[in-house]
Amino acid sequence: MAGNQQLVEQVMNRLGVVRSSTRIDIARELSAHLEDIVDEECSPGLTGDGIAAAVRERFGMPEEIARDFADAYRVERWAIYAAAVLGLWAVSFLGVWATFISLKAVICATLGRPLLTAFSHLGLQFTNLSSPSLGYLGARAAERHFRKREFVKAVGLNAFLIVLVFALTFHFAQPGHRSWPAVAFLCASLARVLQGLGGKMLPAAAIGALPVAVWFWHGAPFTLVPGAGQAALVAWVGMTLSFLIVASFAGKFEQWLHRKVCANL
Amino acid sequence: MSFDRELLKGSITLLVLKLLSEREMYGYQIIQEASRRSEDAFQFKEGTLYPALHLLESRGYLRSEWRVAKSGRERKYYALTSKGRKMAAKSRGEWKLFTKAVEAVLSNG
Repeated sequence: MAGNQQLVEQVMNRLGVVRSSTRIDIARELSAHLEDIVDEECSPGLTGDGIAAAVRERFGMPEEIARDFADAYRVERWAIYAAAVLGLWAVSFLGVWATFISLKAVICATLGRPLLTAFSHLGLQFTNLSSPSLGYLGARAAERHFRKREFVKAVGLNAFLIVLVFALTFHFAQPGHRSWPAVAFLCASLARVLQGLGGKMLPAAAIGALPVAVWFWHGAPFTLVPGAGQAALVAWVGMTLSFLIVASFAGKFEQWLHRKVCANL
Repeated sequence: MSFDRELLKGSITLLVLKLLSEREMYGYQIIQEASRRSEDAFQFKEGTLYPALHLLESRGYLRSEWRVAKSGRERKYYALTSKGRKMAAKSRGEWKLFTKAVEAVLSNG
């Protein structure tokens, strides 16, 4: 019966992210129950709309049932989500790292320097290049999850992330390099805010990366290219590409979440 | 007569554990049996039973299995685990004490 399927879908759409096997099991069980109600309601001679109304009345509000299921599977939902977010961050970091390594490799090849120079200071690269991902994803996570007092919570979440970045920075970085991750973090958050305002990622990424370029222009340490102007240009291009990559992964992640929620209906 | 929704929701665990302590049942049977024994007083929204069953199963009080029912269709049967049996006994004891205490308050007005 189409009405039954619709009721089950309404529950499943609001269930959140649980394992596929759990979704299949819940949908199957609810469908079986609705089938039994229909059988029972058919006997007094009801037909069509009368049966559908009786089924809906006896079954209850799909929103309420979905909320109760979501509560019952709270731990599972959070575990899946946390693992997925961690995966997203790791993939984003690797994307940013690959971009910068490629840029550095091109510069090394152009300037006739050994290619291995691009791979030097891996610990420093980790702190430097994790900050754009953390900045962008932190801002996006805050928008997604905080419904009440969102600004305060967003500041709290991002303050935690920036402290994490600073802690890593002070462990790995030389004194002259320490402010770079914070600048990258803030620029990535800015890019996300601009994307939210304008809707287009390319201009948001390009404008968001400008403070990095300015920072390099004013003499940030950069050993690969000679001259502040070239260093600023390389940093600006690298950051813009990084923001685009992280935004693309985050978009794909949200599509995956949506597919996961709507799957197996 | 129909009871307050929150009151029913609070006692659904006790009812489920008690009914399943007697025999294995699937969701629809649990509702039918509760309705029959209460002379239709327990008329809760039927879909709300399933999250409660899944929660009890995740806590280890129930186990479940898909089997073919008498109707020839597959249904998910629930049964108590040994942990569930202990919980059923405990819940019943608590309920008796609770109702006794409530009754004492109500009758000594």
